[in-house]
Amino acid sequence: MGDPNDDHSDGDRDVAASVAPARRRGWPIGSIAVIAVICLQVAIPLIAFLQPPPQKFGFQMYSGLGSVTATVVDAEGNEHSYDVDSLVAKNRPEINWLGRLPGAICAVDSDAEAVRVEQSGVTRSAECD
Amino acid sequence: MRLTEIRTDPHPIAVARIGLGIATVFNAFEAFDILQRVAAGRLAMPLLAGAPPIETSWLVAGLVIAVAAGIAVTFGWLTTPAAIVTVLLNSAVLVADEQTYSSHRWLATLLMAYLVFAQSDTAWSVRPRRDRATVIWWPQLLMMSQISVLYFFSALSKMNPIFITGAPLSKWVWIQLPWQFYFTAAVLTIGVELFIAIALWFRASRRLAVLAGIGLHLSIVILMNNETLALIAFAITCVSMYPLFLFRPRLRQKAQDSARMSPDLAERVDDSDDGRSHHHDQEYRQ
Repeated sequence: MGDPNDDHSDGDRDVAASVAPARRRGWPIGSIAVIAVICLQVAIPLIAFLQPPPQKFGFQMYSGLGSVTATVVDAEGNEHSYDVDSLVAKNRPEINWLGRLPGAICAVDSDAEAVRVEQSGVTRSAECD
Repeated sequence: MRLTEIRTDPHPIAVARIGLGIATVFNAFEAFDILQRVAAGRLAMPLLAGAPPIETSWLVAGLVIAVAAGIAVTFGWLTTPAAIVTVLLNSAVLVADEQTYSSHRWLATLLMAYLVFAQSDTAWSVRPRRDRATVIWWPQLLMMSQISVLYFFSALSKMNPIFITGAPLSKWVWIQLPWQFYFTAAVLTIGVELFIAIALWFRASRRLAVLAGIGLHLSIVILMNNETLALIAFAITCVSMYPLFLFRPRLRQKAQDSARMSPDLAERVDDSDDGRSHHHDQEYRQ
């Protein structure tokens, strides 16, 4: 991938133009926009990182954070764990499951009297109708 | 020096384009698989309340368009429209159901958005631009910084007591080893990701960073016990960005060179947007 005339053995590319003539005036709007996008690239995952999990847009893949577990309580008061993977399309740790999962388990598990969902140290319980 | 005026060799971005195009095809099949399960009755998690239910016919149409766009990007045919279509489709997928979200899909979407502006079909495409010897560099800079941010925050998020123990890692890989191995691997993973995020930017360390990155992604693809398709797509996405670091312009040197350059030649090089600019630069270097 290189110009045979290129005499830089370290692989650096020569640029055809990296010149800003001294007589140029005015705000370098394009450069400012590029720098602004880079700031956004850092700011978005930084904000996600500073929030409690689960968080999207934070590049927190395979961090061990955000995993979800569900427990079903039947009419006799017996508890057993519920296989979340059997209900959802994709068990992503970046998704907040506490909102919809308890109700969804109640809807599909006729034996469930109550459901408890735990994600990232937060538990949400729901009584099934 | 203005970032938007820097131009560079078109071949590294061609590699990135090919990698992103291939990853797009892989990602399209993965998204189809997830949304197909939603259409078949699994729990739906639409981002927008009241969104219409997902239908298989729409999914098939979306898959065909996404695969065609990915192939077009790979071969550099109608690259800009194909990249725009890919970004729009990825955005639609992410909105259609939260379960399609993943770091690799989000990363691929962002990189593809930058690729729209990158003149990436200038070289190694079915219609190479022979009238353009160089390409603008700023989209490449955004792709590089995005990759670096990815590795950095990936490492940062792993610095937690759950991951450090190695226990999650032991469940994700198919190989059975003593817990000490998983602990060591967890610590090493964090160190390697941090190293890549920083070392890619420096001439002295970037080759080692590339080797570390290839090793990291290879080990992920080989050792992880599921998500193989997505992990291959992620590996291709990341590794295809490495040439952007290996062959990036030498900005500091060029700034010094430009100061020595005669005003007349400087103006000709700076204002050119075609093959002549490269020619003048060759003259200058000779």
